[in-house]
Amino acid sequence: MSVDPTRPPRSGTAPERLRIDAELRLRRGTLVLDTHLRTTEQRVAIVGPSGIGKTTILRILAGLEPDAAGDLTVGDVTWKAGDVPPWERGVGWMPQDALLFPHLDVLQNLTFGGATRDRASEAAEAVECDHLLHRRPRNLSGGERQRVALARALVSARRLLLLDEPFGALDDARRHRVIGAVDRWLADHDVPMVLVSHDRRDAAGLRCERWVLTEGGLERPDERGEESAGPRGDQPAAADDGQAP
Amino acid sequence: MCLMAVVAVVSVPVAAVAQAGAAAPLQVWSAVSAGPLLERFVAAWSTDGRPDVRIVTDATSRIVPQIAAGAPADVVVTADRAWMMEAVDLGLVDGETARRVAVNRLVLISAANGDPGVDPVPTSDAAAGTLDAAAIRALLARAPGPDPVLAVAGPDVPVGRYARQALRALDVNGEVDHRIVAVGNARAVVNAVAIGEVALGIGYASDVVSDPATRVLGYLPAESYGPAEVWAAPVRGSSHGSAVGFVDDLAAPSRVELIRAAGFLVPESQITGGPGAADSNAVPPAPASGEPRLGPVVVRSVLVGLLAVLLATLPALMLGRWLARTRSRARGPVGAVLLLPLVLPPVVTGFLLLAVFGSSGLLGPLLAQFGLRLSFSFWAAVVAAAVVGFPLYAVVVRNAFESVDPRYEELAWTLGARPRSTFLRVALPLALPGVAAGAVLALARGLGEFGATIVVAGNIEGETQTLALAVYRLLESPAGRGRIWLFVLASAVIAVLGLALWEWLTARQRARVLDGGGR
Repeated sequence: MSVDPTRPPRSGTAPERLRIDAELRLRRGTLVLDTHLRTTEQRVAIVGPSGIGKTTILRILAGLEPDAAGDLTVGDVTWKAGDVPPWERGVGWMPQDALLFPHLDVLQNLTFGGATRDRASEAAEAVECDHLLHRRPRNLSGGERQRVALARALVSARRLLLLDEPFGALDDARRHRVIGAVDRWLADHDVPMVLVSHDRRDAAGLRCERWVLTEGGLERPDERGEESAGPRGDQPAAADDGQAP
Repeated sequence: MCLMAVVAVVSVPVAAVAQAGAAAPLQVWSAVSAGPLLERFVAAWSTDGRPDVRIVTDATSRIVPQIAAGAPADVVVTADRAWMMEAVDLGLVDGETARRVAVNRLVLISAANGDPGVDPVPTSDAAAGTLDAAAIRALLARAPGPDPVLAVAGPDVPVGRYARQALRALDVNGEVDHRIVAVGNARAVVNAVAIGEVALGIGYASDVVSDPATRVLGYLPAESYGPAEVWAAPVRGSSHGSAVGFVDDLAAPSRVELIRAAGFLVPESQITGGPGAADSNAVPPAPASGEPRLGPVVVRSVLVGLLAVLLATLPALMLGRWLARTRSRARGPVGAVLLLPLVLPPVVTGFLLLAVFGSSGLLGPLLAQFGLRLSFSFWAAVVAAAVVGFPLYAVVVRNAFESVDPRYEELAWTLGARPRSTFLRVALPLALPGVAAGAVLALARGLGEFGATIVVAGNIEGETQTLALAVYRLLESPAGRGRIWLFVLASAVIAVLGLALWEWLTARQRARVLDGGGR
């Protein structure tokens, strides 16, 4: 491989490293995904109805779908399909249902990937879970778990942050503060992000470029599609092929 | 260094279970019927500075093949001439060194407290109590119903072959054959009758002498069956210095009284009544040196089970894990083959193990080059228990890994952990309750293992005899009918303790995985 994927990005290429150019092709039973995500924006939000494959897109980006075809370029690094395993990608993946390691406490979860205690504390403080460091996942509420999982993803996201419905379990006030914290963290650490959500407020709060995933693939909605997506945004925003299952 | 560790591991359990002293005991593998005779002989023989003797008894038809398969016998004692000649043909024995030790007689017996309607024959009177065809018919007619009433050993066992010969010679086989209960060996005949399971039996006079729970109804005519001779010979492969002397002493003229006391006839001597077997009541009963002792047997059983679990753990983890996660097409077939030892009769598993590790098996000769012998050793019992317990272990481990959400491992990957590190830090800790449960299950299976063990390890008192084998041995021992309950109780206690341990472990591990336990 010509480029070492684990090498820290050079600062001189900062504008270029925000480019995402991903072929996403995967056939998994009834799910057939074949689309292209190409953007130079640093933050991308993907919305669409449930079951359409939003989570799968994040999994492909994280390197968890070895059968997926297509290349992914993040900045100056290209991850060919199945070429770079997930443990060499340096992504921070926050799955929809947290998945905190049940046999480890919060601090051990945050430092699992080798992060220092300081960095873990910093992330925990940012998303308001620094008082939970020595609790076990079992003793956390749903919202607390979500914030710990978010902190863990922030801590390990050296190259790319992948968030899957990250704020669903948070009440409005806290959601507002946590979104602000993520916004600052991304800016401070200069990390690009792909977010999957059914809630347009998430995308708006993080100043994301919005993409809509439909049966036909990913596309940038025009102004009319933006209107029709509605506040919940979980119906097909652009079901132009008219063949919803 | 590594070798020393291995030697230490190997020698500790052996030392713990071997009750004998420093010198290797002389192993005498004998027909069951000659066991009491040998015990009497050994009691007199080994007092004057001779080596310890370990007597291993089973049907001759099993002893000889086991020696051919590498059993560590120094002396072989058969219950007939044919099997001794077979041993010579197999190259196990030098024909020149074989000695005829004693002659046995077939007797028709009933339980001592039964009422077959016939006056018992005094064991001293060989001629007077001879049964003819009419007498046998009359006895069978008294036994109720069409049910099997006559215990006879299998046709390959000498005593069983003699009995069938006699029934044929008397021309009663047509009426009797369908009423026969086939049992394993000469002692099993006597035992089946003694405990009242079968009304009548054809066994050896020598076995009745040592079992007060039966009585002789009459002798079968001596000319109706081939001479029931007890033969002894040193095993050719044995390097034990006392093997030849043991056989010669056993056949020496000075042993005549001892042989008679044990209920045998002395070869080529005229029995005139009077002395001989009639004196048996005056001779103290044979010392029970070959009887299993509870403490060592329990220690050995637990040790065999634990070592078997240790042996099986790494393969079970690797295979169980692979089956739980692989997408390979081999998964189905491998999973089926894995279950094979679970569904195969354990005896078949034992046979296959012998085919691999026996002295003439696939790997046996290779092991022998390093001076190692697996078959009929303590470690054969461990291997048998491990192999039979392995499928349960691996299946439970597989289920444990399958129950762990694979996304935990994927998450660990995204955090930079490579697969091996992920296994140790995430998958294994999360699957640990299941792994522990599998280990306990394998332990339980190993403790109960019988079929494969008796084939590949034999029933060697003081070396391979575990609880199950000891109970099997006691089933056919006159002294065992009382003591057997001790062993049964021990088995039950161990089983309950094992279950309690399993409960405790499972609860502990579950707590640890779910909420991290007390901190």
